[in-house]
Amino acid sequence: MGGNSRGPLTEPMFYVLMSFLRRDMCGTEITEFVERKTRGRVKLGPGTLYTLLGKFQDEKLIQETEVDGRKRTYRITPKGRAVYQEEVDRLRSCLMDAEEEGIL
Amino acid sequence: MKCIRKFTPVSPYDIQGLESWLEDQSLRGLFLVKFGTTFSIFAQGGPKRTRYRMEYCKPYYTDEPPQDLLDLYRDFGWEFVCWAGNIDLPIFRTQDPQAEEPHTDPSLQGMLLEKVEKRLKRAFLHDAILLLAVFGLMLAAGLVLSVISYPVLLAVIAYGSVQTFTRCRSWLRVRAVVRSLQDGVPMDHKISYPNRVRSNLAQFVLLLLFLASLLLHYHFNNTPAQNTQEDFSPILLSELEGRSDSVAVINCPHPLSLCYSQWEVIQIQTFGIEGGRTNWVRMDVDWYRPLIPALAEPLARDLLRTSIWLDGLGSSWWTAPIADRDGWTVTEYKLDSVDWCAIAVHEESGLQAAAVCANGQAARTRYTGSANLADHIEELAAMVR
Repeated sequence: MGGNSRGPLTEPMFYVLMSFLRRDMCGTEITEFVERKTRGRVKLGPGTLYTLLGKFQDEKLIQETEVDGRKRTYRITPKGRAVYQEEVDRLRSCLMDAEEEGIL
Repeated sequence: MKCIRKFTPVSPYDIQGLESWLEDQSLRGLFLVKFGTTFSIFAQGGPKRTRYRMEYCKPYYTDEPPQDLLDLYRDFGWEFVCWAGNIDLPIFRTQDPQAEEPHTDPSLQGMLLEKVEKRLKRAFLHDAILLLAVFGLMLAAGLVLSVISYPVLLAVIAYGSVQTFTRCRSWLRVRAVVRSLQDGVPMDHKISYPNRVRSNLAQFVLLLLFLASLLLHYHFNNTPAQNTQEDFSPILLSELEGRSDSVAVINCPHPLSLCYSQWEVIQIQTFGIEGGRTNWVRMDVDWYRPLIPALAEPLARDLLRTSIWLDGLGSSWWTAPIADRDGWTVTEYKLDSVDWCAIAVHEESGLQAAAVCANGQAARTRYTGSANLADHIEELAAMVR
């Protein structure tokens, strides 16, 4: 999942990690952020979000910080930031390659 | 709230079919309470389009999935209904047309369902290997002999075959869905589904028959020995040995066999003590009248073939040292009014076995004495004429 050794991130994975960059987030806040950021292009259902949060926790990319009733809040870890940065660098390389070809 | 039971026409692993069926029921005012592979329970109410989705979560051995999963789905407008028969397949529903679909990333959903696919594949392979092993053992022990003596094996093979086929079909169905998702194609939740009520009901009935046959086999397996029978006249040990002091025990060893009648006659003669051990001779006659007369000859052949296997246990009477287990000579005889007759002789130990069949009857004789069974072939044939 993501990183040079794990292959590229999918769009939902990328935007979920992005949502944690500025502050801790809970499930519904993540969904609203992604929908707003992508102008509705990327939507997150509860199944997708639950699976991603579970996998990111297993891979230590995020950690749960607070449980307040039904609201669970998560924070990105340094490893998660590194994976996110790797993906940004990869996408930047792709864009530069496309610009070199001059067909934009 | 009034509840009704309905036959379940779809397999729990036909995810799209299941979701479509449940949505169709909601349009009839029926809302799922509990899912079953043969019967499902519905609550009656006013018709309202309801979307149902079968999800996957890690196996959770409680009445409900993990709380964080429930909370997240509830935040998105989905409520948990019940498990789809397995503890890793929860069913959710929503009546809100605006509620976001649970899975918006097909490849991620495919990755989840791959766990279900692997589980189904393991179960199918396990069942197939077990079925082949049972069938292999039956072949080795004589297929006709095994089925006639233990008809419960037929129920085992029948039920096992149906289960194996069903698991294979479920595995292949889920595999097709997983591959489509992994190619990035979102799942279509509304499809036409075949009505498998009769198939599901037949499996349920087969399961009941299988359990009933096991109970019957266990209940009737032990019967007391009897003193007489009138179906045939067994060859007598006293005639072979020239003495009249043999002891006979008559038994019906498998009262639930596929035979009109079946007998085991054990005759033993003792003569003298040598070196602290009692010398004795034994002759067993196994006689069958199978329900299907045409099975008499293959049964007789199985009986003779299995007689050639000698026990290596010291306490068994039909035994020889391991080094001497080979060395059988089998001779077939053509007799009037007899379909098949053969005698096997073990040169080293002197053990003899004979099998004969006619008129839909089969008999096997095993003898440890020194007389020659071939000299009494007419008496052997008389048991089935």
